[in-house]
Amino acid sequence: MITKDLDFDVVTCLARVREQDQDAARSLVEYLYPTVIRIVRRNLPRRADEEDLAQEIFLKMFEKLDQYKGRVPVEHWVSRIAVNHCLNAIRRQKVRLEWRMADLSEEQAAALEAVTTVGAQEPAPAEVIGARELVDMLLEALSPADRLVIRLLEIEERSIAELRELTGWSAALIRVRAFRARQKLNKRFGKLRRQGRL
Amino acid sequence: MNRLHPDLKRLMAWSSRSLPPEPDGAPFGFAGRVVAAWNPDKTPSLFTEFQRVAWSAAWVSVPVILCGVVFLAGQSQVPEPVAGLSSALRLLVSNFTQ
Repeated sequence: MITKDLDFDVVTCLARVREQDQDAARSLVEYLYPTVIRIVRRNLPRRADEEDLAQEIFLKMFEKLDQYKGRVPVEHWVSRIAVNHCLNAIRRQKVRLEWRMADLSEEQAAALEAVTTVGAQEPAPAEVIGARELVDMLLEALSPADRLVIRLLEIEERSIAELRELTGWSAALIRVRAFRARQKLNKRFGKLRRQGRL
Repeated sequence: MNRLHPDLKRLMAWSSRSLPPEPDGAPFGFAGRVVAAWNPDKTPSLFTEFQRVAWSAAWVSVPVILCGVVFLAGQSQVPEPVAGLSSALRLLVSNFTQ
């Protein structure tokens, strides 16, 4: 989903930013903020501050502004910068934790139990939070790129075409990554249910 | 294409409900901070200035070197003065000076 603001003239604004107009630069940041923060929130590395990451993305955008030729909407171009920046931030972390059932919080354990119960009902708010944390833990086993593919395909339910636009990867590469990631996640989820550990 | 385990798929669907609401706009002061950090008018550092001068000097020196090479090549192609003509000139010069 891309931000649309019919009153905002992106082309004029970009031209003014290229002439170092700071008011135009501020307007551009305001305009693109929802697009960038949405990507950051979904791909935020642990312990990272979303505003710091968003600021780094905007600074990168200003640095690369001369490379933007206007062939794609500016939102798509910035989204790709944001996705790559988040991937790099996640790669820098290199954290691999082992989780055991005993480590699960009350919400996480409740979410796991609720989701595996036959005929599961609507989740309680605490279970939703627990589910989010469990999914984050499960996704930690994946490489940053595979994690991104799963988030976009399975959680945000985006199409492969949208992923291609966002990442610049080929459809074949996305399918391979999705296949490998699903296999790994299913195995990890099975282990969590059977043995109570990840 | 393989699929996620149905329970895991459901867990992911639940997790997506906890995503924070979409923001309407940037928090107060955010855009100003970003633009201040970008600061296109900032004065260049000493190293950047040195680099710029070095590059300018390099570009200026290229045509100077080329001109020198062309001049030297031209010099080496000048024919040796003919001995007879040279002595005649010397005679002329001595006559004029007298």
